[in-house]
Amino acid sequence: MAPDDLDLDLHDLPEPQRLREWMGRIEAVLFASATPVSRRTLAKVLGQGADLDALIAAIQSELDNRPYELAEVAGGWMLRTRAPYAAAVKAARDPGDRLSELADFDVAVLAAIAYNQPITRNALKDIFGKEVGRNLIGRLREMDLVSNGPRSPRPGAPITFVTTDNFLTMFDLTSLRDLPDRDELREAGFIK
Amino acid sequence: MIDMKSTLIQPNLDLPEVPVLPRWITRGSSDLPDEVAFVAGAALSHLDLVLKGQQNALPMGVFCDRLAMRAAMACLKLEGRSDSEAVLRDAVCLTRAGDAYGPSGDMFVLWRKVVHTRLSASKAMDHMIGHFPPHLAKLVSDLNLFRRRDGTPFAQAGAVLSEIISAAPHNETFALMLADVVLSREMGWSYTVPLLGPVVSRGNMHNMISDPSLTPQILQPHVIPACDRALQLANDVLRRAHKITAITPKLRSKAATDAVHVFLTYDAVSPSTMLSPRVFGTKTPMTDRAARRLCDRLVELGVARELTGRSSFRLYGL
Repeated sequence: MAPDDLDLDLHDLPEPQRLREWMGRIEAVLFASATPVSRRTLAKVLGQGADLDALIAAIQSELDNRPYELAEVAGGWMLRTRAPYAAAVKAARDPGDRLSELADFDVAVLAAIAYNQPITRNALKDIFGKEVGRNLIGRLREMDLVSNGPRSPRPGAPITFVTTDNFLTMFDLTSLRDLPDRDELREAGFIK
Repeated sequence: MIDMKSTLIQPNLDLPEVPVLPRWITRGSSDLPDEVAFVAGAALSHLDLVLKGQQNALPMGVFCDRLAMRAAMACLKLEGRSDSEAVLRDAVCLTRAGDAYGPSGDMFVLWRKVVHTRLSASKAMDHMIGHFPPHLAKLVSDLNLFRRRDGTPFAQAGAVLSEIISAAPHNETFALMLADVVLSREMGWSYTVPLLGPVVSRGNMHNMISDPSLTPQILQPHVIPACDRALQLANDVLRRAHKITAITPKLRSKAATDAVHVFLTYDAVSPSTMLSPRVFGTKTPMTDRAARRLCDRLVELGVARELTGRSSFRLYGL
């Protein structure tokens, strides 16, 4: 169904079904996204009369007995497994698989850190022309791909980021020297 | 009659100095392998006498630390990184407990750990190997790298280097480190003096990896400038150490005296982390402010320098 066709207001539906449909859409969009979804994004699938916060709360209570939850994080909302099940998820996971959880931009930031380490968030902002969210860094940290490096000798002693040994393992590198040659990447147009 | 007095060499009693390599060694007048070997041997022997003669006067801590800095920078070049001294110093001094040093910091820290291991201590080699990642420690035991071998110290060092690069070609830094360790051990030096680490280039490394049997010929010519530079550095360090030691009585506090010892042990001193709340290596307390005041005073007295040029996060050293 093309976006133009999506009926946002659902005036044809009786109220209970209307709410159900909106709730369904919110859940579906969150389910399909690897990264937190913002209020603005959700507004694209909901009508004017939709009370997003109420709909979210309704979904959350429906998920009470499920092993995953709808959580509010900086940047929006996301579906994620509940903490008690973390051990089971980890146990089931093939270590290599985790990389496929990373969005394209996550990988771009990871690459920027790998090539420029140690590097501050500010310097990353200069590279990408926009702020690199704390959640993104948090994800990379949680996957043990990135850790804190030396403080930068600037006011406030900002943290720098460096890649970890696990980063090398996950990307099948023996050392940072095995990273693709910067000049080759530049010529191929992958980096500026 | 020959006037004996005028032929006596008058020693310079004002500042200590070690003799640098004589011109016939540094001149580099022959490429013939035998000649190069002879001259390299002479250079090592000269350095040996200087290091042993200066046992008490040359502060091995800061001397080896500064050589470790050079070795780290050279090895980083081999790995395609061209960080300056300032970057390495910052990486090490500005890292908080629990955080990572980053690749350049790691390199400097590793060389320092190697260099500050007392070679005469029992289990010194085991202790040193503990600093390396497990797969390299395994390489040491698999190849029995620290076994006693025949040959001169230089020959043994060369053998260790070629064994490592034959077995594990991309571990150039590790190979250079262990070569320097074995060389220093066999020369009877109390600490590892990085001689080969600072001077071997990527091209040299490449040639040695292609044909490990060429290792002695490739390394030998480097021994002369390596020893020469080490001796120039020794003189520099000696002069600076002498100046700071001379004013220490004026400082009139145990904390200050202990702090001077830190200056004699490390290339760079961060007052807020290495002198405060306690002076490194001692139980002597010192406040952050007192530490910074002391460093500024040492600079005023002309016996230390501020190394970064910054107004904050300052680092000091001889």
